[in-house]
Amino acid sequence: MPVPDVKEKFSGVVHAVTIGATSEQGGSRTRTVTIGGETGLPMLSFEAEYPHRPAFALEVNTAGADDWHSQARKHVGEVAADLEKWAARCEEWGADLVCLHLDAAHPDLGGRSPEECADDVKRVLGATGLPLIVWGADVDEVDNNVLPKCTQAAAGENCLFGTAKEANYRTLAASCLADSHKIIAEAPSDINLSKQLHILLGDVGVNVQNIVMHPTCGALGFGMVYIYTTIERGRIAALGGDVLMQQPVVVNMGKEIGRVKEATSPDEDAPQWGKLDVRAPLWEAATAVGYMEAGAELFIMRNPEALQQAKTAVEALWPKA
Amino acid sequence: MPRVTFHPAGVTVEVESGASLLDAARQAQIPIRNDCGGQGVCGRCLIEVKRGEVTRLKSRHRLGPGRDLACRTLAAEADIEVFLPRESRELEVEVTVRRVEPFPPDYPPPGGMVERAQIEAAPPSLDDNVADGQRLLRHLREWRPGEYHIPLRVLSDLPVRLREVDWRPEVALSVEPWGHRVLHVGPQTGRPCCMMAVDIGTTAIKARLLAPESGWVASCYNSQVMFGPDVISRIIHCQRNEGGACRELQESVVADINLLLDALLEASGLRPEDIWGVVVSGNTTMIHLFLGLCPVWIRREPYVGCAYHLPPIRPKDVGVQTNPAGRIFCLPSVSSFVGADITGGVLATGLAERQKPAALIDLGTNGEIAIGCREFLVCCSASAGPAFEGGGSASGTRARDGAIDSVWSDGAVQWKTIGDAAPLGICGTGYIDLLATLLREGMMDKTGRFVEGAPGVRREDGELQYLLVPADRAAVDRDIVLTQADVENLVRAKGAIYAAGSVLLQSLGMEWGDLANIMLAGGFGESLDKDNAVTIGLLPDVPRPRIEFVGNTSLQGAVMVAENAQNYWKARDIAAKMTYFELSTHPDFMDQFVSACFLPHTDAEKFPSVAGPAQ
Amino acid sequence: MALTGLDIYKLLPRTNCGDCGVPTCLAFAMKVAAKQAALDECPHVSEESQEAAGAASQPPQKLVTIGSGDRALKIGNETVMFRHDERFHHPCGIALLVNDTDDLDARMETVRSLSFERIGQIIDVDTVALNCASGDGEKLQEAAGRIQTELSLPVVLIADSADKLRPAAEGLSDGRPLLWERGGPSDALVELAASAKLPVVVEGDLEKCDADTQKAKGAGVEEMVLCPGEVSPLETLQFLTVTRRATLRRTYRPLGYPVLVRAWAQDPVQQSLEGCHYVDKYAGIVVLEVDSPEYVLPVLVTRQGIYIDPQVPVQVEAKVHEINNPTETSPLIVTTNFSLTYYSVLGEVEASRVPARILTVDTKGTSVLTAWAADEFGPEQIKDAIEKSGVFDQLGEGYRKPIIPGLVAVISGELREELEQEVIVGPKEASGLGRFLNNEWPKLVG
Repeated sequence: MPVPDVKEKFSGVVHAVTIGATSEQGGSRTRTVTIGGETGLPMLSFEAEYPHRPAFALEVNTAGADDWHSQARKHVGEVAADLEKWAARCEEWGADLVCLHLDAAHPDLGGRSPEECADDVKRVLGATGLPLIVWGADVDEVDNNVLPKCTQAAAGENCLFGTAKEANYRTLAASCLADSHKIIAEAPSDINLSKQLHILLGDVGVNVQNIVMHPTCGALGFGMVYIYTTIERGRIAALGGDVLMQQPVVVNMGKEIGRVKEATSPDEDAPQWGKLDVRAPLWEAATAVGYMEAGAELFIMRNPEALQQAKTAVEALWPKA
Repeated sequence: MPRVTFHPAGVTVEVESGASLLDAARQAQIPIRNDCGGQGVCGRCLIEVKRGEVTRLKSRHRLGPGRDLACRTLAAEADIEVFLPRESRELEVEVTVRRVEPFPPDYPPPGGMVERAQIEAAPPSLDDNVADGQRLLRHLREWRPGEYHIPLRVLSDLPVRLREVDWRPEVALSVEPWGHRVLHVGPQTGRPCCMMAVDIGTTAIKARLLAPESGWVASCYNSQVMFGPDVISRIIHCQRNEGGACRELQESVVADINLLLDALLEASGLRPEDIWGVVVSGNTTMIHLFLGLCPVWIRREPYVGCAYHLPPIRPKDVGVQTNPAGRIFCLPSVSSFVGADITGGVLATGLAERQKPAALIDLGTNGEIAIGCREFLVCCSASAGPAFEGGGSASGTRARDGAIDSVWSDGAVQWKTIGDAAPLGICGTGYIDLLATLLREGMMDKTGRFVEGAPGVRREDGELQYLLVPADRAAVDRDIVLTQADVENLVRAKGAIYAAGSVLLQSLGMEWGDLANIMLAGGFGESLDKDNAVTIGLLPDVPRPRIEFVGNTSLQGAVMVAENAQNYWKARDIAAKMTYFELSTHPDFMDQFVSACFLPHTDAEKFPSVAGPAQ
Repeated sequence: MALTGLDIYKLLPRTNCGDCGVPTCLAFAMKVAAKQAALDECPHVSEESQEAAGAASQPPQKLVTIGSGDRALKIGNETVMFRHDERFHHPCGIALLVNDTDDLDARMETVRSLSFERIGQIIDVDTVALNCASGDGEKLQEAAGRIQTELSLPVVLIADSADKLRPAAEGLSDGRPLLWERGGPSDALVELAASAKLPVVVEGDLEKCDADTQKAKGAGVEEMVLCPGEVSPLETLQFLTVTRRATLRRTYRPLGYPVLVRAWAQDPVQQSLEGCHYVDKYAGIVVLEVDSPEYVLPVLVTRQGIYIDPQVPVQVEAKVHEINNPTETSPLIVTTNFSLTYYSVLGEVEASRVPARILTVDTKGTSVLTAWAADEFGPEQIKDAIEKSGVFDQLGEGYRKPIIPGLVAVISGELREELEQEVIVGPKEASGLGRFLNNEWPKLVG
């Protein structure tokens, strides 16, 4: 009896989403990044197509890096006070994209005005040729004031803006539509909530092919397996033909790694865990690699060393297009 | 804004500072005694402020220590806790009596749970000198073969009675698990042998009189509501105060039933002695509380009640004021959260005798779903809350005259009330229509969030709400509105029902489309719009003729048992045959529930007939 | 195909006799379908029915036991491709590669040190892959014997020929080592494994594994473990997926065995990441060469996560969680230990940037309302949790005011009496916490 052929052909495809616009496309990026497009579960090249590799972004934060854990801070420390240098350095570190977090817009972190935030976006765009992700302050009222100015400031650059949430999606959706950006739809670890949000965004005119979804994120050993399963279930549904699940997946990991003791405790507190300078980046890379296994395509990280490690792993694993 | 918590109900509401506590109580839907409309005149809305600061207006009444009048006491800035003393809770229960299709003149037919036999006995003689008791039994067996039992109470004056009526007595009998019981022996009266069927709902109680040519149905709110809006909070009340609280709840429901009885007797011109039997249906907790059984273990793992099959009792055991020699029967329950109401519903709809599987959905406060046919019978509970019975909503009301039971749009949103009376509030079918209409008109999104700026949508206290009827057109002195919180409750309630049904079907390897019928039961209105119920995803998108609104099947089941004792045995078989599914621990339930908490549903392909929203 | 409840119901007598301890036949059938009961627990089920059900219920993937005693490694018998379809049943072995020429005392000490406690569980390297680097079967046997007695751990014996495995296999068969003849198994090893009744590794590509397992089975070997050999990570991953699929989706029993893989990368970071991958995607044993904790720990934590039963509500530890460095004037928020509930609250508190404590009460991992309804989150339980945690000692006078979820406002009065402290009713949803902590809390304590 021959080994049975267990290839699976799926009816659905993950949408390919391109972020960034070059000068020919009306923007000023030196390159664009496309994620998605897979026709099967991760890395099964004997049955499916993998036209685009997962992409890695490094976080740049308007509130600086003072509250980052030591191993992430040690890399960005010298540039953390200068958004432009920081953004430029990301390119050197091998990032595919820059993710600008607008935390300083939070009232407790300086409450930067919408205009100032828009200026931050412009300066970062000027400092790097990489495609840009812009992440709000995660406070509804603040985001509704700040993000429309930022989408406007980045008009033509085809950025990825986040996040739209079930309770607060109209403003960002309208701004992204007006200024032609891609949008991150964030729903906490539940495929039904993700689908609902995509329906709502569709109802206000967003093309579901312009959505990247964020099922929220937890670090390895700290809630990751929940989200791993959410992503995996969503991907199976997507390939089964569920158009509301066919969005590529982004995970915003940087902050999450800081919650895990194994990744942050100093050597003297935890000698049994081995060396912190190895533990910290490896933990972040292992988190990324785990999510890739579930189906995530875009990783927002903090530690450049971890980014390198994860990219090397992708090199070894990801099927050649 | 200060929060006011009312005890013993434990209900909390947020009010404006400066609002009277009477208004707060109304907002919390706490029935509080008040005869003057809050003018400080009647002195009945007594409260005790247990905590927090209040402003006391001058009062003409001299009140006991620690007592205030709710209408003369205003909330200040801080949160307040208020206790309602018994006097102010003893409100006049508002009883509604309606006329429905009357019974025939020869009703009830022979073979009911209680009956009267006209016996013509041969007097004893030296040749035929069996004892009086045996003599009566001999004639009863001639009247109808079977087992009979004459209790000591009847035997004690039997010789006198038989001789008084010259051996031609009228004998009242009841059907018991082991045979017939002789309830009473007396002269021939020529009066009918009447009964009453009662459905004790968590939110409302309904009773029907079983008498010749009677078409009377009476209903009222279950005044246990003041101890808490749902069964869990009432069970907690019992737990808190040991035996006394259990009795308190029992007295409360029995008082309601006696009020309904009075209303029915008054409408029909009958006397309490004419009512020989009462058949009671209701969820497991309600039956426990009616009988004074401790329900505490119903809520605790592994969720067991005191008893599901209950013996017949005497009216005086619980205090029901029918003929004291009569009998009270309770329909059997299935489990702690699937009660006699669903047993009655299965009986009334003939679910257990069908060729093809069908579903019965009881949309009560404690929603229950049964699916089955001749082959099998399964059920589950789906805790929907009182939303569809008008409970817990800003302008909710039960289905009665003045309840808005139907809403539609012809460009502008329109409504009508039951009996075309001035609007009091919105009942279940009104809510179904209203949600569907607002959704269709693009005035709310598919999560149920109002769209700011849509006509009729306004912001009150920071929250969006929809104004359906302004106070000046309403029969109540405030606007009739749909709040965002109401919508959330309704969406959760319908999500729970749909998800429970889906998971139950899935456990059977079936889908909604495999069901020949989907019957919706409950007292939430009279004019169910099937399309609207599907539009909001309360019911599955199946061909509409399969959907049937069957009304209060719990009460119908109780009527069927009362009038035909065979149905009593059927009900017991149904309860024994029914397989109960615990969904709260089912791995798929949460998933299905989240999926169903969307309008109509996250998986739009399950609702192909529901069009997209107006952009 | 698994039988549905109704399928099983049709195999039962349908008398609702209750002799099985379940009230109705259908309820019993549902339990059998959910694998919570076995069909033969019905005393009246017919033999024909048992047979009909048996064929459908035989697990297609073999359960393989390596080692003996408490620390025996049981792998295989997996039933699903994705953990959300049911769960992954038998956590894979994480094996450390040891040469029989190494300083065994030092290596065993290293293995012992790779053991950690995490969320109340011990996670450790639980297998030793012992390589016959000496080329001497006697030496291999001696080393394996020491590991079995001194570590009590299961052993995978690796050698390039059956001869070298023979002494250990025959001498230590009670300890059930797994025999891995590189590139094997040869006929000689098959014969050895069959007579010693030991599990054996079948190495090679799919076709070779397919042929060799059938041959070995024919020769009397019961327990086998597949291995793709030294191929790229991508090929390894695909081998793992294809064998699991063939087994579960096609019930193809020749590939119905767990799989042993080795993380071959030389760079320790990449080797660790490779190990994480294989753990997530179907490995039965992962062999690592890296032996420092910083590289091994991520693999162990990955295994702990992926084998969590997704149908059991995940709980967080019931304790006081400190957020944003709270002080003695910080709010105390009380909630349940259902992880989703906790993480929602945590997320909102963090976003609010208000330093706070979250006390999670042990409600067996149920959410607020469910726990309240089932009498797991009432005044007594909250009081006990507060007292046990000693959290009031960390709070200043005037700040010992627990904030309870708005959904259980009804218990505030009683809780206040129990605690003899003010109790604050918080918002109904976690999403209201940010506003509450920033705007209302200061007024309530100020």
